[in-house]
Amino acid sequence: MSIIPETVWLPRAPVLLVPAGLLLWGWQTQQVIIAVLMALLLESARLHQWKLELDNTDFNRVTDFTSLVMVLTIVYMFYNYGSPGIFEILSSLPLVLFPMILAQQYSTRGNLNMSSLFISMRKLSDIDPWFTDNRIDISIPYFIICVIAASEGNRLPGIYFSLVCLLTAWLLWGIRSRRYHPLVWFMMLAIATGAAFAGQHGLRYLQGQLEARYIDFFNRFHSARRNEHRQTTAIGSIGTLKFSDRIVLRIEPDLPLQQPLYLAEASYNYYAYGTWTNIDQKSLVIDPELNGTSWLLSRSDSGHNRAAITAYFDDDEALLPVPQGTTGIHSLAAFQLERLNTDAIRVELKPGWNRWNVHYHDSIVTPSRPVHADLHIGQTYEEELKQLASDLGLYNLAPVQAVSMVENFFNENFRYSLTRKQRYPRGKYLSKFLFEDRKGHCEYFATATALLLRSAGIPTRYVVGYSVDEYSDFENRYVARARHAHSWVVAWIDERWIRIDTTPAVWADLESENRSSLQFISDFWSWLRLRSDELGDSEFVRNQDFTWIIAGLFLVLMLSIYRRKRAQLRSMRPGDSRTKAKVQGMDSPLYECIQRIEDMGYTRKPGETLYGWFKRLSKAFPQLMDSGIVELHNNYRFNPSTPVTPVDISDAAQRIPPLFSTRVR
Amino acid sequence: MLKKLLFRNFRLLYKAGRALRSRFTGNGLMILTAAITAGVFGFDTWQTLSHQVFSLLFFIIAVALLCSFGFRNKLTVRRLLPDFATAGQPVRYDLIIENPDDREQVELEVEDQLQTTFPTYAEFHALKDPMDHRRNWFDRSVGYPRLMNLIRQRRGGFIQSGGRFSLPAHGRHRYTCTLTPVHRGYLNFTGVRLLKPDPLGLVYSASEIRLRERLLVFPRHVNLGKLNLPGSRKYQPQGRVMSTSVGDSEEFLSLREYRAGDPLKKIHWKSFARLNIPVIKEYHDEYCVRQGLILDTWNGSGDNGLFEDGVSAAASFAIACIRQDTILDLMFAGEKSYRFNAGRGSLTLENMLEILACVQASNEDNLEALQNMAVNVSSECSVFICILLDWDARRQSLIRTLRQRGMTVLCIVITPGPALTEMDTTPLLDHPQYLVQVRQTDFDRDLQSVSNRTGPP
Repeated sequence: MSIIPETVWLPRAPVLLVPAGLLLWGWQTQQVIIAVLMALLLESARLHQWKLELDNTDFNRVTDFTSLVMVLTIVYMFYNYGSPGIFEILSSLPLVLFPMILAQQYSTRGNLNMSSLFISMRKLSDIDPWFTDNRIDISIPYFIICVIAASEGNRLPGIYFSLVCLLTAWLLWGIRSRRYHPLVWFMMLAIATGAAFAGQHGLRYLQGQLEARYIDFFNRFHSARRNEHRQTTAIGSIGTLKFSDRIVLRIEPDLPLQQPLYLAEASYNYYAYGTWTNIDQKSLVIDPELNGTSWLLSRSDSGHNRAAITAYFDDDEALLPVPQGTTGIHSLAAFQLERLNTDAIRVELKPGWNRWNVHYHDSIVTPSRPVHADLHIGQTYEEELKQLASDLGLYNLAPVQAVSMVENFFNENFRYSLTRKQRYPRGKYLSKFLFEDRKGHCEYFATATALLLRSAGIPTRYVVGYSVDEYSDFENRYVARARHAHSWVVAWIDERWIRIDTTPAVWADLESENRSSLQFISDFWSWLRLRSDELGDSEFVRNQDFTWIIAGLFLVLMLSIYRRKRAQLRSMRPGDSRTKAKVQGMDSPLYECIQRIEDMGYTRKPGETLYGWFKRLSKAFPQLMDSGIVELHNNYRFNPSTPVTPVDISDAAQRIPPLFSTRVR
Repeated sequence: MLKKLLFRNFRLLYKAGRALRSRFTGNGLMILTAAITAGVFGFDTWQTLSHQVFSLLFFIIAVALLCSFGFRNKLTVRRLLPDFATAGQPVRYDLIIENPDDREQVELEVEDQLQTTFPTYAEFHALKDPMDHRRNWFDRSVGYPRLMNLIRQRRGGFIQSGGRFSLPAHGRHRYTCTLTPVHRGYLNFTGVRLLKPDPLGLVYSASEIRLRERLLVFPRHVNLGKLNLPGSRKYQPQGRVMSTSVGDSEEFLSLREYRAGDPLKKIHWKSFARLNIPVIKEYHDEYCVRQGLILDTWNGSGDNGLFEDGVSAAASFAIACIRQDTILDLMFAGEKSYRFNAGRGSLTLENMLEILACVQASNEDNLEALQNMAVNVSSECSVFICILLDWDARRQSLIRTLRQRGMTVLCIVITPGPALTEMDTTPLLDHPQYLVQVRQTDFDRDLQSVSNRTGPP
């Protein structure tokens, strides 16, 4: 029992404010019907007198249930949506926390005990005399949660802002200081609202500015989707490049791979200051076959290799990673497929896990021919590269031999490195790589190769994608991780594009050295997500399932509270045989003895204690108190740890009626 | 290293929390929390509209903060404290607030402040909180709740203010606060904060008035009822003449004529003046019940709660014994040995409780000093009540020594509980019922059971 008096934290929300918050949430998240029902349910608690007598244990159960649902929601949302799931969790908060506010509104107390919110407090409440289990009214916090959760809807910002201002004013009016005239209050609020209006625009502008300034950074490290028009490389960056171990692709070829499989996502032809771009952005929409899921990139050749590829797409538009010799894409649930001028495949499809089959050749079969941009070098490096090409004698060699010469040049004189410690002047990155450091990662090699071959008059393109070589024994298929992202070059030789990869073959091993020791956990998690998607029919069905799970849990909670209440009511009912045995000491033989004494005419006065009654009787029967039966009975009835048994009482009780019978005689 | 770093962060956290609580009203804290939450979710302004909520709440708080400056206070405050309080017992006291200004003060709040000192790392590190075993793993290993408990103990009390009030021009208001002392000893009041909420009701303007005072808090005690401790009355040489009218042998016997050799201080001057011959007051030798209360202060376990309960037990016995008109010798040892004598004209019950309110636990073994002191007074005392914090060999040896001198000893051993500990009754073999285990978890009930056990062994 605490010695510090109990207090109630936070005032009660003004009338209709919480329902208004709920309606705002329902409107923004397009759950109007649910919101209206919830609002009606809450508000009706004010209109009638029917209340539940919930005690702390009941509140504990409700909050435990809410916590359970909260945990399930978090797991479910992250499981299905990944990191964007945080916003889904936010939008579901009013629904998840609804049992708590409902319990508060329909309880006679009208507020919750703090220990119901924090389990650690429950253990202290009964032993720590300095601990006070204060009460808290959660109506205002719940209203605030509704308003913030509504923001997830991201609809009609102007109206949302106005409504939030209105509701906040409503809230603040109730808690304002009466020391000042309402006009002062109104003016302060008007100033704050005006500043907030400008402020929220300012925040958006600030984010826009930051993104514009650091777009490269965001693109390189945070954007999941490859940009088909521009690829900013890490050429010139200081420090060590680090890539994630996250599995991004799963590949199941018909036959085991004899050499790494190159899956291209995009290719570029114009280089300047560390960025590759495509000047020509034209694309060609390819019609699907009659089945709607197959697209043939080459009708004359079907390709003799087969592979199934699985990947996760956050967006509904993506560049499809495929082998460069792809002749056809099958079993792909896409709405549209386009081939870009640079031979990249752009698709419109449903976000989430997608799987498709590819038919491909080992050699590159693409219809596009080189364009003028495929020979562009740029003034920055033109002179140096032409000098280098001349030094290597590339001008005097046939294209095939020139390519071999370049491959040898990089193979013999350069080494692979993910670290760069020195900063170079802008526009000198490649010069330093080619003539001084002679070390770098795949982007250096691919860019330098492309430009060097161009200086020898061979059209080239810079290609980005994945080099697949890792076989997962756990999943029984090949996997490509984020760190397997790679760049290489395609060169136009003998009327076809051939792949040239001058990056030293050790690159994959060096990058895998940095892998996390906990990689297997993320691999397992990724596999689990994939499996769940394969098992589930659709997101809608899963959401329905989830709602049913929550509804089931809610039912269990209600049932548990009902059973508890019924047991409490039963214990208060004296005649119920089911409760008799449960109450400590109710089976004491003294009750029978009392009945017998009363039957003899020695009645107990109303309100007279057992001890008082026996003491009164002991004036006539002095031996009555000697029996010690009252002490035995009280011990048995009220002391849970007593060693007294009904047999002890029974022994003592047997000696009592004869006393009375003697007197009667 | 990590714990030290955590401790430093706790200090920052605690100070930040205090600063926030002293500046913001409860509603203000709620709006601040909402603003931070909206800020977190509104970090990406394209994902949600939460940044709008953040912006609105942020500017509301900013405007409220701007309006909260400039509280020119002319009010005067006086505090009317009681003479003493008891740990765990709420006590009411008043603050007299006067407004000499021509302007009415509306919706003022008052916060009376107790001195709060932040513990050092060594104090925090050495602390053992009996509540720890009920906390979860995280709280137990990080220790923040333990630290908060320690700060609360050091502050010594909890003050519940009397809500908002208004003060007319040149008016006076009696503001009643409820103080619940949580710890024995002196409570130090530092000052009074007068708070004025801003128009939005979110932020306070505060004016601090320095008002240093202190209040003695007696240890928590339990009503033990009538104790029927054994032991015969013993002759109390000298000193007991200060007793006036109590005891079964009236110590003032009669007046008689002066005889050669009678001490001058025994002359009854009023009779001498009336009769013109020296008259002497004749006294009877004093025999009365004198009991020794030995408090074990050696807290080897480091559990401060154990020692506090020991003090509470000592206070409960002191009250029961002194009220029963016996002389009580309180003995304990710290850096040196202390012995205080109460009852029958010596120290009063309040004096004794004041001593117990200030007694400190000792980290060193002082049982030998305690034993010597008890042995020295054993010829005068009829019974010893020993409040022990453990029942180890050293304590058992102390009891054995007292028993060997023929003393009746009642042993109260404070244990953490909740389970009863098996205790060796050999030192009290002839009357094992005088070995009483008082569990911290069931302190009141266990201690009250002592009165049932007392009586001739």
